[in-house]
Amino acid sequence: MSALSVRDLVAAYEPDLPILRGVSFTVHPGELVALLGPNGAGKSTLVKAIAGTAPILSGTVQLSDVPIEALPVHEKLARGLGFVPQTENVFTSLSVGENLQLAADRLPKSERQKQIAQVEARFPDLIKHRHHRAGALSGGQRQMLAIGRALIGAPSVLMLDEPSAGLSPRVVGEVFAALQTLNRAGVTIVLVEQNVRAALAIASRALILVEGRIAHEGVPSALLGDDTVADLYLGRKGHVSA
Amino acid sequence: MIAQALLDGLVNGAVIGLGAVGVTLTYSILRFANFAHGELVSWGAYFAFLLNLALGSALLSLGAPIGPFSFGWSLPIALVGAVLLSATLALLVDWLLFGPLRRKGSAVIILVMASFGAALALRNLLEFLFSSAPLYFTNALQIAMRLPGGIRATPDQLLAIGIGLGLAVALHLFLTRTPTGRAMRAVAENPQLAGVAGIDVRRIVRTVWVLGAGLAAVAGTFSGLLVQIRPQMGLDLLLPLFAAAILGGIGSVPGAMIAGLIVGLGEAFAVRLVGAEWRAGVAFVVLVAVLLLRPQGLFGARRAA
Amino acid sequence: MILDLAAYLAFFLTVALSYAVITLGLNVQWGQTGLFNVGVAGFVAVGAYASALLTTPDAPDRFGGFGLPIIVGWAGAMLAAGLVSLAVGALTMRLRSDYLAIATFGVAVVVQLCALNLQTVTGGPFGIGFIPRPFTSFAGDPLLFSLANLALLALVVLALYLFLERLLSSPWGRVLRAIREDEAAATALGKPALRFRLQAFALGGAIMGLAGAAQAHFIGFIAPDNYLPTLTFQVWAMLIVGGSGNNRGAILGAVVVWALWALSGSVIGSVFPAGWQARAAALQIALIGVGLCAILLWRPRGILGERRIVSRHLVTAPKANPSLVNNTPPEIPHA
Repeated sequence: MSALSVRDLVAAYEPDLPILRGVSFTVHPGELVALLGPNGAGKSTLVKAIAGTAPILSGTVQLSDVPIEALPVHEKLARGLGFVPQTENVFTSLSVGENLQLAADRLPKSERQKQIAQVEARFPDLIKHRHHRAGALSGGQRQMLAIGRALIGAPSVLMLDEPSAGLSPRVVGEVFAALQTLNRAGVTIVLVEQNVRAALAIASRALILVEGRIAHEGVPSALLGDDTVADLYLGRKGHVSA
Repeated sequence: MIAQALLDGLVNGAVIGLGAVGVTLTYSILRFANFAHGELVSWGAYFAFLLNLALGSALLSLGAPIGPFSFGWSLPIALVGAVLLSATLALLVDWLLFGPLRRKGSAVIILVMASFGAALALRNLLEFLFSSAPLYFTNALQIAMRLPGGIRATPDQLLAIGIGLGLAVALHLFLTRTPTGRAMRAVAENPQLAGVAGIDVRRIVRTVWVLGAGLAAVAGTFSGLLVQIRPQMGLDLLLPLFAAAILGGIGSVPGAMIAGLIVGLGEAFAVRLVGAEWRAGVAFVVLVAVLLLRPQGLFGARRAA
Repeated sequence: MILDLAAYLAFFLTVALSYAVITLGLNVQWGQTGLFNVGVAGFVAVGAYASALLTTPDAPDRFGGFGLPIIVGWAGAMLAAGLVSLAVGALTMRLRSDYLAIATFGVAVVVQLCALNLQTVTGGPFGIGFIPRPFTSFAGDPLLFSLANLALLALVVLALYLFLERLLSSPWGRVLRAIREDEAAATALGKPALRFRLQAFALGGAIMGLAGAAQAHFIGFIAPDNYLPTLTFQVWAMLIVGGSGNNRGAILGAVVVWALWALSGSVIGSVFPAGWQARAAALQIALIGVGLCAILLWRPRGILGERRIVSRHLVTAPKANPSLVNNTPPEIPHA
């Protein structure tokens, strides 16, 4: 069984200008897969297409062996897909508590409070801001809220689009530590990142996307050990992205 | 006579406020200025008229006035029916017109233009069906009550103020306290993220049409009860509705109601100070002032600016 | 008989061409610049009244009647309608795109209100009569008179067409197009997009004012009833049918829609009994509304299609997800 399986995915905003040109990969339960690659390779489009916010032209996406590519966005979520977009990933005009409540509203009544409590236990910072507008949070707190929101309903796969974007190095460290903790607790994670070193440090496996296709795939140590790959896409010493 | 103008303004403002609440809701969630909203007001009034007529003639007892009011139980029942029919009409127009345009990814201004075409069709269809002659819910003349301060008001007028404020409060609570209300606010802020957060955006779009059209039907029925029913009534209300929605801040229900009352009061005082023939200009003055001084409106989020 | 027909045809074409002028003005605003004007009738009325005031003989019961030459009236009409457009544009152009639409709608309401109520200037509901007509010396011969007027309007349309075509291929027109296609790039290049849009909106408004003046002097009489929202709808139908962004289409659309309008009007006149004429006219307008929606749905580039220029606003791009509400346009920053 695979947690997430993508086959021959082609996605495009303009029909004759495909950004993804036949992407295939599989994520196994419990993995933390880093999705790396140069700017414009289609990393963000890939997770958006899987989540349903970028148009898919052809190909299949299976979540726990069930096809989901044709479902509306909110249905994919109901099937166990969690997604944290890169920007505008919290509702700034709603309170922190409402952001979580909103995601819990689709669950059965008995589940709602339990799920929110679990998220708040994981990110205790959110509790004291419960009644504040999410727009007033710091960048790191927003990211925690966005991740917390995506965790409600216990998704089988959590996808994040560049969670480190715009955060200070210290906060990036906190976010990645939180992701690692989540992964160790059994959450399967797909992580799009520009911050290659931070991503490889916590990833169990990495995919390198180049020009809309998966060009390389392997465990972090193997990819870093491959001179060509490290030079071209990971930067020497693996801390600068191409 | 200032007190009398205040009361007239509040009555008029309650009707404008009800319509403006509908405009502000649809505007914030559908993201375009719906020029056909006035037509939902008119159609609501005609639906209520027809149902009221049918009920009153089928069961004479329903037509007998309730207490001090000018209408019988047939009107509240007809109003419920009119709300449902207007909502159905709005959903039908969305299904035929706005929905397909949204799916094509049309620009905001194309949706505005489509609403303009829909308004044209809906309004003139009413004129074709009912002619431009005014209709009245009742021909009985209602005696105005004397209130403290020398104000005269009919029970119907006071009811309009009460229902207007009551519905605005109820809707505000609905938006802030219920799951659907939360989801509506989320879609208004960011529809893309709302889908990712598990909200069925299409359901919210349907909900907002039902609410907007329902409120329009209530506004239309009261306007018909207090003044008269004409095919042009929605067109005449459109500028005040837009002015109030923008003054209140797009997306703010209390803002739209308060701004509706402000526009209503402005019209009432203009009638007394400048003359009734200039009444329709008040909304434009309000609109220009708010666009000039505070384009995000009194209670608007930054986004609206 | 044939002469009557010819005179009627000339009359018909003259009216159609006056609509073509309005449509050309709307094309500058919408087709070339993407600015939505819901108050076309208001701008046409401003031009008509301005020219009437300037050119009619002195009237004792109202302001003005300055007895100036027709050409001064036309210039005044363009200036007045252009200035009103400039003011409305300046007020709303920084804001959301649909605020301009709402404001122009308001302008039409207020112009109508002023025309009705400012009795001492506009003559109130009865309007202004005795507006000087060109070629009055031919008035004895209806055919010659009609043909002369037709020639004059044809000349106006031709001159306007050539002017607009030149303008659009000039640097000014190219900037305008650049702004429409890619506002971010245009602004980055240091071209203040707002000013160009404002200029285009004012130019379009001035052309509508000119059309109002031309109509007023052709008919010789104006009243508030000539400038009801129906006029706005007709002009929009003309532009959409012709294909926005296309000046030749705008002219052709005006003639075709006016022909359809006149034809369906006479059919309704003969089919419906006298008591139903007003209601039948309403049905006619309702059908225009349905037609407008149908074109937006199925032929967003107009029946004749666009030549050369494709409006950014009419391009349909596949967007993220069908279940989503329409994407937010880039000019609205998210909080």
